[in-house]
Amino acid sequence: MPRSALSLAASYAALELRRTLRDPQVVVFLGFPVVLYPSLIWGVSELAQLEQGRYDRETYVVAADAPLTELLEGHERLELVSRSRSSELDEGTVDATAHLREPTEVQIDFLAARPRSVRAAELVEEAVDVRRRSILREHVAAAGGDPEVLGGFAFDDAIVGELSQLMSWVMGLLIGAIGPLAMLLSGVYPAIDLFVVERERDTLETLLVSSVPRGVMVAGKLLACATLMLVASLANMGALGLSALHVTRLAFHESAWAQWPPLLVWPMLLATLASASLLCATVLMASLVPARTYKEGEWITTTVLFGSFPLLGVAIVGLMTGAPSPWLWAVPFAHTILAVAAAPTGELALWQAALSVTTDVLATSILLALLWRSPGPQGLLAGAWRPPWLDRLLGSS
Amino acid sequence: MPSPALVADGLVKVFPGPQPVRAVDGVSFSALPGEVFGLLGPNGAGKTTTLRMLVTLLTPDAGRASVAGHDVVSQPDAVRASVGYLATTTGVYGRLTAFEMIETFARIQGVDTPRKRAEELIERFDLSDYRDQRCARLSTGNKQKVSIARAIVHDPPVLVLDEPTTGLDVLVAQTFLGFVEEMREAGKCIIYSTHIMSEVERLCDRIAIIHGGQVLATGTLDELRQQTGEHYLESAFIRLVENSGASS
Repeated sequence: MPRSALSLAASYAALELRRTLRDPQVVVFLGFPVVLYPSLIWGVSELAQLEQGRYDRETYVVAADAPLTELLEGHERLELVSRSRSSELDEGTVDATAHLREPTEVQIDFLAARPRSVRAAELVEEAVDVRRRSILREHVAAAGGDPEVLGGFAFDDAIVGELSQLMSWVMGLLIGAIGPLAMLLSGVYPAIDLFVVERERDTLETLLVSSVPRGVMVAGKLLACATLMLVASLANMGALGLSALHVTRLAFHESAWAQWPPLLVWPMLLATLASASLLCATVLMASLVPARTYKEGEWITTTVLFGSFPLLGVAIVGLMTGAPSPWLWAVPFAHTILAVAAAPTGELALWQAALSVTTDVLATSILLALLWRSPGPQGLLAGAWRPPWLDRLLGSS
Repeated sequence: MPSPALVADGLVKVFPGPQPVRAVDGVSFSALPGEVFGLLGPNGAGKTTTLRMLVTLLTPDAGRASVAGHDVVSQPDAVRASVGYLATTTGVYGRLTAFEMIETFARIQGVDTPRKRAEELIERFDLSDYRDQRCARLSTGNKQKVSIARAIVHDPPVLVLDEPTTGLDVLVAQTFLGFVEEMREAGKCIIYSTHIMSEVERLCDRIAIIHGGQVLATGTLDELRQQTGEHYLESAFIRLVENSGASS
């Protein structure tokens, strides 16, 4: 494409972006994740802490055998009742039951689906253990020994390796699973607006009679759509990454921080996402050729979204194996997920990014070449003939 | 005599389907610079299809046409650069302001100073009060003004207007007709499609009466009167349509 056509396509893309970004629906699509993930994570963690605080303050009713009642007596948060019927737990009159089976074996029954019951069982277990140690100490002291020998080992949980690396790995898993999918999801509405809604309203004729070549218009719309998808994926991944960081800090250590990926990873990741956005925008544009109305556009793009799920599955299998086989890096969409997942830990290799970009660019070029032959730029803009079965499927005839 | 700015020669358009429709069937006419050429016909006569072929929105199945010397099939980009087209609907982007709409089209049509040109047209069409209002919120008349400004933003030698006063109130329609006369004075070739007889009588230098995809008669108002023996254009039109029905 000559330079003037490229700059014309860029100007045209800018027009489309300006127009599309004024659509509240597009703005919601782009802004939603930025608000959604942090608020969701914040809300859940606050709720979890609140619940934890409540459980830590509450008193639990435990039905226990006589020997155990002696052991647990005096525990400030356990209300002990004698064990009478086995159905007490199911009825909810007690939170857990405890039964001494052997001198050193305690059976604790609880309902796993009821958090109160789980917490009660944990408390009984802790209390029995503490009490047993205390009795043993008394016995050792009475026999003239040193009770400290029963103190056992002091354990200090330490994760082998860098904690920041582990946090980055968790972040990678989360943003890898969601980011590329969000890219596709976020592109749906702009693509329908750019290609189908233009056909529905009366602006297409105005546009087609302007002296901008059809090919440039297609390129401009494609560029606008791909840009929006790229921005949406970055917004999603940024918001999700920060949220994931918050979660991992809560889970591991509040002062911990994920590792910062090496500088080289950023351009590689950006190139991978940009080429993926272009391919996704081209796929959406191609799929929307037969659509004449917004409704039909929605129907078709929903099918495309579901169609992408097997590729998502392929990538997830790759992630779960820990070391995805090299050929996975040549599978469009799947390799984007792998690249995004590998980026936070800095494990995204140059050959992997290069292979991802190359296959995406190649797939985009082949698809565009096919589309340029049929239905051609005019058909891509104005829509094209479709078989009667598709008419019936879309409910238009 | 100047050479025609627009020539249609035996244009044919057939829409495929279980029962193919021959929407335009051998339409021929030509129009000169500084002339308003009227296409007069009832709904479904083939006026819009003819105009769409002239502005390269549709490809003719037979025949040929040229605009400002450029062939509509082999030189479509040159044709589009030479024509300003006003469709039956206003075709404005609701989310752009009046100024942005005109400026954007000035830019994509390759106008050297797009902002200046847009300001000129805003002034010319008395849109200053609505300059920064989104097109979706404009009245039909103001939308049509924006649409006209958009159509002439690149100062094309040929204007193709398809039922341009549809939906406009009398006052706005009068302003619009004044604009068409002004364009004629400026030497533009104007193809004016309508089914409103009074507009044809006021504006058109020559008229083609079109019905069933065919041109029934072409000439000045006086020539059509002489040809049909009717004084009023409406009567002449009805006579021609009835005669065509009788002959077919």
